[in-house]
Amino acid sequence: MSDQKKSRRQMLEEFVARKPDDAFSLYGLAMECMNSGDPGAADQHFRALLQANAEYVPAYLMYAQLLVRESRGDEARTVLSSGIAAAEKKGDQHARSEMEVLLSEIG
Amino acid sequence: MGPDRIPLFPLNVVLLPGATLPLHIFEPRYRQMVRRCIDDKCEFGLLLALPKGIVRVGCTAEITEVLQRYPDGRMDILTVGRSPFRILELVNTDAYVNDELLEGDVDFLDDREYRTDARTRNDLLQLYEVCHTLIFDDYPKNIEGEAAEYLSFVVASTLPLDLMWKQQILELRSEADRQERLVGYLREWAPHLQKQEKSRARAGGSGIN
Repeated sequence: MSDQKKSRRQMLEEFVARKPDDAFSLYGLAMECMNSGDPGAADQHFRALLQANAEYVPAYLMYAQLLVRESRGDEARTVLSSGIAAAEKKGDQHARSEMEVLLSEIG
Repeated sequence: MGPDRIPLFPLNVVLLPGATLPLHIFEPRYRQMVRRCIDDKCEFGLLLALPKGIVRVGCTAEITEVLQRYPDGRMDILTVGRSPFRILELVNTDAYVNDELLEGDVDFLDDREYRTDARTRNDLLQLYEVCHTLIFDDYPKNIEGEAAEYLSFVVASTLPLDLMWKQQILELRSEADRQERLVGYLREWAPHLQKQEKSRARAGGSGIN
């Protein structure tokens, strides 16, 4: 047992270090960074994730939401377009329509 | 050997082999059943009760400890899931509505197949580790030590999964199928965990023995 309890982020960083190609670990870490107010780190992790795992559909919408919050609308649109294509390829109608809604909202 | 007759306890939970489940026993029929199970050292059958009726596949519960006895006869007990079974026939079909104890003739179900695929197992472990950390803010305990044929039950009873998913895991008769089903489900479920951060209920499944 460890003497000091690790934070969730530290634990997730460990998982990613151990298995850098695992999409869900990296997604979890990116989400954790985003939810705990570190958009810079979240941005990096989302980008690394989508570079290595372009078919990991859930990441696109979350990354786009982060970009919208950071007032980076152009980048959000690019991410959403790729995300919609990825969702279409996977036959994920639900994810696709969620992203289309966000895309139309940011105009 | 004919089918075994066991007392049945329909409840809004799915008990899986190896999982612990604390129960508060207050209805007279179940107080009696628990006393009989303790005296005869026998198990009772736990079954998922749904609005449209009870399911046909359940899991026996062994009483491992009486945590508390109340003066009026109520009890808190600790149980552990043991053997999956299928109901062949309900002995007294009216019992449930008449506040009597339900009994059933059952067949105990063994796994048909023990082989598992190393890759699926690794995928499941990885997903489990991350989901557990996200939900409970901690690593799962001692998973490498779990017997291979039990891993799916450990995962399914520890994470707060949908009841119908747990029921499906209970009904599958090979560990390879259970692991594969869980991997598919967790892949879909896991990315939503952090989205519902604020509304998420912390209480999850029961621990594993």
